[in-house]
Amino acid sequence: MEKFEIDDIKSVEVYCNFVEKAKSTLLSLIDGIRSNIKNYEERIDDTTKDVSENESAREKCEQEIVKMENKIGEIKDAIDNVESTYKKIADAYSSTSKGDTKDLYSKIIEEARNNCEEDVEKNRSEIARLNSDIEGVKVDIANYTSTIDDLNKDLDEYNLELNKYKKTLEYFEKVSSKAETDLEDISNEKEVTKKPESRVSKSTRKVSRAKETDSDEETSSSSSRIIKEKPSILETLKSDTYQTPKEEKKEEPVVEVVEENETKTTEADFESSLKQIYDITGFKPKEETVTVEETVEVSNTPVLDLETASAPSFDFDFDFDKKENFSLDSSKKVYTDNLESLFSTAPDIEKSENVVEDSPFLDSDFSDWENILNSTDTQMGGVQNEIKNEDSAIDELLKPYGTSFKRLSSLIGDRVSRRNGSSEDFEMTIKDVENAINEIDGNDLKAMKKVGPEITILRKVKNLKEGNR
Amino acid sequence: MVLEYLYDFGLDSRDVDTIKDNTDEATFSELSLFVGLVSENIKYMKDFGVDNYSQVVVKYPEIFLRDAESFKNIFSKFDKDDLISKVDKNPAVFKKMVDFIDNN
Repeated sequence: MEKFEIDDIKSVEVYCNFVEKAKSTLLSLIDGIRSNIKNYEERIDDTTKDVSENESAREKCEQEIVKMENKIGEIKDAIDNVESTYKKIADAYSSTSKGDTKDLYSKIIEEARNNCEEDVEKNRSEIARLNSDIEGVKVDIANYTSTIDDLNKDLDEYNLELNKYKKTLEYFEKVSSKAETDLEDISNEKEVTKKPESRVSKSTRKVSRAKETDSDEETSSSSSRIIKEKPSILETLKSDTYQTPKEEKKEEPVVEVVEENETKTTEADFESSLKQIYDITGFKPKEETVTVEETVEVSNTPVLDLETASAPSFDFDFDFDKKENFSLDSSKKVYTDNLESLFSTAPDIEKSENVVEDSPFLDSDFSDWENILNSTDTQMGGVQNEIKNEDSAIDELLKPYGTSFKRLSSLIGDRVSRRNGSSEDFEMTIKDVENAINEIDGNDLKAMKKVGPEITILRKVKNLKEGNR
Repeated sequence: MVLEYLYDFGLDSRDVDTIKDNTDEATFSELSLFVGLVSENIKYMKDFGVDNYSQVVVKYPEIFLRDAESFKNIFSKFDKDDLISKVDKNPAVFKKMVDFIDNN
């Protein structure tokens, strides 16, 4: 304690120089911290901007995916339509693939098949391409999401560090203010020392040699007590700077207590402040004291060195300009089915169920036409002999052919025209029909089977009337 | 007027002239005489949904010289929509269909 006593002007000047230097160092540090805060704020702004841009890009990607999925739906519908058409063609093919019909439809079906295959392949390729694009966009989205998460994390860290620096700045401003106050006090003390020198001597002499040891002990203990009650700058820095905001709140009441103690114990406050400044600056006056040594132990924790003070730097290695390349795997096989499988499900070739049964006349009554013609007692002949009424008779004759005279009469006109423009009246009588029926031969029966009995009989009538057989 | 009844089905004089030029004497006279039969068949084809029936009549009039039942049998052998679409595209398809039915 003796060494801190302002017993002469020289000591005051030394202390003033020390405080000036400490103040200068603190101001320099504050400027550095302010600069760092500004830097952090700029980085936070940049990061926020990047986050916004990435979120916007992610939204665009998601919209793009929705569009692609809609397009895939449309293409699938188109494929369904094409396959439905193809199925119809295949069904038609299966129902008509016997004999010459195969030739009839083969060309048409082959062309349709080629078109269908081409459309299906084209659409499936489009789907495969869109699927690949979607996968690429999904990877982009994942990348953007990761980037956003990283940026948000960085942003949180920046905010935390900014908060720490702000608190540090606040504290150093307080310390600087305190140092200025101390300097003013010292200056006042200096004036006092210069003028009433006896008073200073008297005050210094008050400390007798006899009491010196006790007094030193008391002062030392008092100083130690004060130091214990008041946290050191390093401790405060440590708690303010490197603790979470929740922990900082717990420290606040302690600081208030310190301020109260400062107002009450001016001398102890002076000593403790001086010791704290020593601790921060690392400045040691030539006259070393026990108190300083005690605090040196605390300062062994290298939290902040004013001489080389600088804001803790953070690694901003994240490359925002880095662009990932997502190559699309065009060789990715998306579908496995093919048109052969479609064909394999086609029904077997068989006749259509809609086939009209052949006329009974063709199958039963006249299938054995040669016997009918050679028989002397045919059904027609028997009927002809028995029927008395002409109309009834001719209808009976026509009954096996599935027609009647009236029906035949309704099928013809009353004139026959020629290519040369000439025409003549045509009248078909019962006798004409009767004669025609009697003239029917094997060729006529074949013709009946092909084009029907009515037209065959009518042709027969016409030919007979025209003199042709 | 020759083949006057065909006008009722939308054919005109040029169509009739074409028929006249492309058919033999027997077929032409039958077309002129078997009015009811040919009309019945044309009507069935029209009602069946073949829009291009007039061209079939012009190019292949002999097809209609057959019994109505036989004529209907042709249509029953094929898928309706397919037949209509094919015949509308190309009337010759119907001729091949008839040949197929007649030969089987």
